[in-house]
Amino acid sequence: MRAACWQDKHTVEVRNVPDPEIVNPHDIILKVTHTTICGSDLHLYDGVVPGMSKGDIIGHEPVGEVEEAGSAVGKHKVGDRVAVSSVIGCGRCFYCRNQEFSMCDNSNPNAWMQEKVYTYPTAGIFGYSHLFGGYPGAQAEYLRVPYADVGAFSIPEGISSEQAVCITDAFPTGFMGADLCGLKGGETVVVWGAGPVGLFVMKSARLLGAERVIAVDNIPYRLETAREQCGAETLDFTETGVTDTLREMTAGRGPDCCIDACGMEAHGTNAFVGAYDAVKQAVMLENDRGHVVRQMIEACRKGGTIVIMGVYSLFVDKFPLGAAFNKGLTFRMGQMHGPKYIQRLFDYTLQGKIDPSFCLTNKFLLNEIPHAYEVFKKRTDNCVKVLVKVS
Amino acid sequence: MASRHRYNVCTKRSITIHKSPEELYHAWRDPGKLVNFLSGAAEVSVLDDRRSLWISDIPGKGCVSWEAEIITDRTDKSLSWRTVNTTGFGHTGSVHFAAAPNSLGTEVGLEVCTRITGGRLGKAVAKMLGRSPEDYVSQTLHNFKQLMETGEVATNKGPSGREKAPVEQCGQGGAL
Repeated sequence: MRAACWQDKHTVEVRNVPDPEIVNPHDIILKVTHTTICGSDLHLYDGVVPGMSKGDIIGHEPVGEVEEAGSAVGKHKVGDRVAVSSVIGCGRCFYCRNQEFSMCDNSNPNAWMQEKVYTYPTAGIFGYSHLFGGYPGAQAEYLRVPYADVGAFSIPEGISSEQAVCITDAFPTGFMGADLCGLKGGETVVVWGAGPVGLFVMKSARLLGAERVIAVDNIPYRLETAREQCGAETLDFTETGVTDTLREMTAGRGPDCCIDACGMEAHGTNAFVGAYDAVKQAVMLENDRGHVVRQMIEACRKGGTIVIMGVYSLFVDKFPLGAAFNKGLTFRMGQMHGPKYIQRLFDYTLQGKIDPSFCLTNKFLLNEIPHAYEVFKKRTDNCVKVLVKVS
Repeated sequence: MASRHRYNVCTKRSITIHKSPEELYHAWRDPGKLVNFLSGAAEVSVLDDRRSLWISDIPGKGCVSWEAEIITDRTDKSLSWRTVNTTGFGHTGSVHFAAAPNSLGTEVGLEVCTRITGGRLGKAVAKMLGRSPEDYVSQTLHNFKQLMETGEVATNKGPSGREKAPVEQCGQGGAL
């Protein structure tokens, strides 16, 4: 089959590789019809995620048809159209039974490796480094899906493959960001990053009752999308001091919830602090740029909630713990618990509350993926999110 | 013979598994099941009720064989064994099963003592050649938990555009 293989920093090639086979009884083989490139794939593309090997098949947002099902698969049969969670849960461990699938005890075959970094292993993720299991990824014609009864969901009539592919990772990540805020209705929510996940956070916050949504970014077309698609007020961090502006926009109270939808490669507002992080990241003294988290801690109201959905890998410097402590902030974060949310997001889509495919601005074929990465990375052609048609 | 070795490196780790001590003891006592989760194990032949012959791909040591002989056997509680007639990876081992609090299942403790020649230098060389004894014990416990909780050992077996095999050995797959 053909598959997108990570070669090195900024190099992804489409190569001929062997087809996957059923290995374990709960596996299915998926014939991938649609996939996407995620913002977190750009972290792999930029070489800032540890544990990648040359030749790894990447991608973690698969939609397709069941080509073959293992002997213990009960929920799916050959020919079913399914969407598959990027995060792999076994469905049986303590964490999966608590619906915390991204903390699965059992789905990471490289548990011994990840324990060295995070003490306890977390769930495997398709195509997302050997630290997260070394599973072959979804930017390929076929994909072996372990524990398919847990992570693969039949796509209901009335939901297109384009809509479904957004419900494998980007929409549930955004939805979990809003969910972790514990909204009761009427809150002011600020979202750093108006990329696909940020836009889904904004839409989800609205679905869950937020009264005001404010987007922070510096790319005009993304801020425009946030205004038009999500009803957000917008702040361009290059034009205004974010913390002071947010304080004034909320008449001295500060926002109730601050959500990071940028992650470890966020671009900075403060030239000195931005350069500090970028230089330390470049020489590997600090893996993750931390200025969005610092700014959220400054901006959030006392007793408010900080939610991190953008991906971080290892260390951040200069963490303003004193402000966080004295303001009594709550921190919620983590990789998304895909299987917890997928059916609920199908339902919102069927009810017409959201069309998740709104973010798919640029469409490519599998063999065009190297170019698609460049378009997404450089945000040319007003790209919000890339759809890859595989077959 | 095992008695000639001085097993100077002991590694002890534990894990909690959502199954009863009885189920876990019986799985560990059955070489036909044990071969599915013992890290690197390739083949096992049962010689008698207390002895079994193992062939294993031990990271950094290659393909080795040994006879495992059960020394103590406390039903539903613990097992210990030693190796004889080894071509490598001579070791002693023990595993303990105790009910976990709060209905969380069973706490499983595994200790493996092996012989690394040359002290610190030997240990460093062993690490350079492959995974350390700590990784071996950790991966065996994770494989055991995966198999008992889900019915299969997690594996990333599958295609890649790699020209040669990755350095790390991954889950070997397998099901009850």
